[in-house]
Amino acid sequence: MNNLGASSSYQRMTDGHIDRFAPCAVVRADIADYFALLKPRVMSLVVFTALVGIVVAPGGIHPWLGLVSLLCIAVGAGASGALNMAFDADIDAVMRRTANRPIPRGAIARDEALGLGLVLSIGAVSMMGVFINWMAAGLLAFAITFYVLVYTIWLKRRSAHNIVIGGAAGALPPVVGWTAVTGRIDLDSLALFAIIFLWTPPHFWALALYRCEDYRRAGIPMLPVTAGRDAARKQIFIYSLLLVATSFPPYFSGIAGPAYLVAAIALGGLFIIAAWRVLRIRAAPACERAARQMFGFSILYLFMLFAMLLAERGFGYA
Amino acid sequence: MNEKREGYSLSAIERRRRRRRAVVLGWILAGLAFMFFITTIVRLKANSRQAAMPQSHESRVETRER
Repeated sequence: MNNLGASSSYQRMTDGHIDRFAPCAVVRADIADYFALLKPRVMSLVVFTALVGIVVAPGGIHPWLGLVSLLCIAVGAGASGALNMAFDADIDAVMRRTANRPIPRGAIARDEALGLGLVLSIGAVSMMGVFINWMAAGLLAFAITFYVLVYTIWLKRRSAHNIVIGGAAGALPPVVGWTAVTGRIDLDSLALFAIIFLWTPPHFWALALYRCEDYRRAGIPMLPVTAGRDAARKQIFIYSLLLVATSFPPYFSGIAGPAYLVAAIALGGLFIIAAWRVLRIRAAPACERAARQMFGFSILYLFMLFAMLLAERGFGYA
Repeated sequence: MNEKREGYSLSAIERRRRRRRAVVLGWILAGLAFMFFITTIVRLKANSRQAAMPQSHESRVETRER
């Protein structure tokens, strides 16, 4: 029997093995652990892109209802994160990047995370439906379900295209925000969806390039693991070109103005340069640095692009 | 009544964390109640304004024709 003092309360012996994710009798988690369970960094990007969807949508929404919509989307994103961590606790435990998450660390039981995720999901979707509109609520429910069932449970451990298809869930928040205002799904909102959808693969493959061993150890078939680093580099470059091409339609459809166009050209150029560097630099320490830079810049790219849409609307240029 | 209590007893840290969780949960519930209240008022206001709006040109013509 392990002798870990208080922490042994959430480590149960099952068939002679310690089940680190078993339900615990004594809940010892701190508020910060529950907050970490909601993936706050992912949530912040989701909230930001959803805010852009709300602001650029035609018509208008009462500011309070806009705030409620954002809260519902944030809680929905957090719920997806908690459900993802509940299902992926075993692989999180073997990856360096995720080993310190609340479930592998033993701070929160897997079942508790599952319960929290389900309650928050139902709460967020219901609130969105009752207070805003049921179309937005349906989209939010679809995004959560897609992320958990299609990406986390089905594709993540089985397909090298996990992140390509699964990226649809992360691309939906601006559409949900847009639909909260208009009550319908417009083609213009799908332009915002397309940008995030095509941004996701190069973003995560850049991460997988320098965390390749981590993913291999966890048995996750990320593209650099299954097809090799060179194939992943090529795919990153191709997707980067597609992403930059997809960043222009918002200008031509009228939801963005000239400032956005200038930013899209400049940021797109830098994105392609970053992808080109990842493609060309193959020497040991430099290639990892190029992938890290690409990963970091991709976050800045998406933030700046959507910030331009927001700023233009704020200053009345679009 | 001098029965010895059995089972796991919380440490000082665990007790403090439990208290913090309870306080945060309380604030979240209070926030939700406030949000529901304000949202109901906002929606009621919007609906009553819509109901009080003068009839549109089309519906006025329709009424006259009838």
